[in-house]
Amino acid sequence: MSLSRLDGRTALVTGSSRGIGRATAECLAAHGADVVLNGLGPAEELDGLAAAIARRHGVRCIAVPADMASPEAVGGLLKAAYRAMGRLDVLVCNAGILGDGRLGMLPAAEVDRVLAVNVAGTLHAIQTGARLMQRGGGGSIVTLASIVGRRGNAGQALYAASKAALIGLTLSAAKELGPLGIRVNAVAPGFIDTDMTAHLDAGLRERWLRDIALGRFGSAEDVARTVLFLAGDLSAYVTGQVLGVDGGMAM
Amino acid sequence: MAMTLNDLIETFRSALSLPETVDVPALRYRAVPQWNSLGHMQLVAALESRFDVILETDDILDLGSFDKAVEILAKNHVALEA
Ligand SMILES: NC(=O)c1ccc[n+]([C@@H]2O[C@H](COP(=O)([O-])OP(=O)(O)OC[C@H]3O[C@@H](n4cnc5c(N)ncnc54)[C@H](OP(=O)(O)O)[C@@H]3O)[C@@H](O)[C@H]2O)c1
Repeated sequence: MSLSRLDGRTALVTGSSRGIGRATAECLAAHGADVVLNGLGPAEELDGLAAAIARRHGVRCIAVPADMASPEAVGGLLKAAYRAMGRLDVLVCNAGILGDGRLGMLPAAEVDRVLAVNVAGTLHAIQTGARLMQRGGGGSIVTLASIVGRRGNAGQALYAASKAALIGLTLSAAKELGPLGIRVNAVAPGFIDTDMTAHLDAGLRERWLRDIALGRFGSAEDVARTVLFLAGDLSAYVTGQVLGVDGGMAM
Repeated sequence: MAMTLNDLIETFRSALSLPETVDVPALRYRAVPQWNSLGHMQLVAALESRFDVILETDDILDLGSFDKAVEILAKNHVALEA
């Protein structure tokens, strides 16, 4: 069987109702994985998407709505996923929100929310997910960092802080979980065309584009294929890495 | 199949690689070198897998003795027969 295949494995992708998470869920399913979708809801929409993915790729796919900002909900998500699928091999911690704003203009509630979703939610998912993976003899965890978590960006101190935190979490988890057969890596996307970047005005987009060596914005599929690589056996000896998916973006 | 206290003792013994001489039901966290923080996570994984439960983080932190393990399993609907 090709090393890129994931047949017989179960993947949970947080924040997979749209954007990069959705493309990732689709890509993993296309390579044979059973997939658990997640988002804030509504449940009917997520269920519809799960049914469509299952049909398209002949895999099992279910949806479990949960707010990654709530530790209890994250615990519930992992439990529901494991109970339904009977195993967990791949965990993609993708759910994330932007918290744009200059220093001095970041309300405390916004700071709490961004850190709760992006950092604490990921940490809780990894805590429980790693134990469930251990039962199957190992697995692969992929977190969604960002180029701004490595380079910083004016007006994105909060978001960048959350993404830098994810890198520290990823590197530490790789060391701690490696002996258990669990690999942990991060992808650090640059500018990807999704809802998250759709609000930026044309002038700003034009300026960003000039800084991208490959001369185009990334697509959700560009990131999804990199996650596929990190999820499966093609990257069997890769752990504790932060892989840029940014088209050679200068920041 | 009904689980027994003996199953729990065996799970402790194999997860923590304890010799037969260790009195498992009297065991407390860090009372033997094997039950350190690393061993603790191995124990939790073994308990979860053996008794088909998924423990809350608070319970994992609370799991400081054999008796506490019995209590936490009961909370998770695993009643152990003597
Ligand atoms: N787009 C980029 O240029 C870019 C660059 C670098 C890194 N990233 C990172 O890549 C990840 C995905 O980004 P994206 O562009 O695909 O974003 P997106 O289009 O805004 O989608 C975000 C996804 O996360 C989910 N989500 C948000 N808050 C959640 C919560 N509290 N609980 C559960 N799910 C939640 C959303 O679910 P709902 O539909 O229910 O809201 C949605 O599925 C994020 O971590 C982001 O920071 C993106």
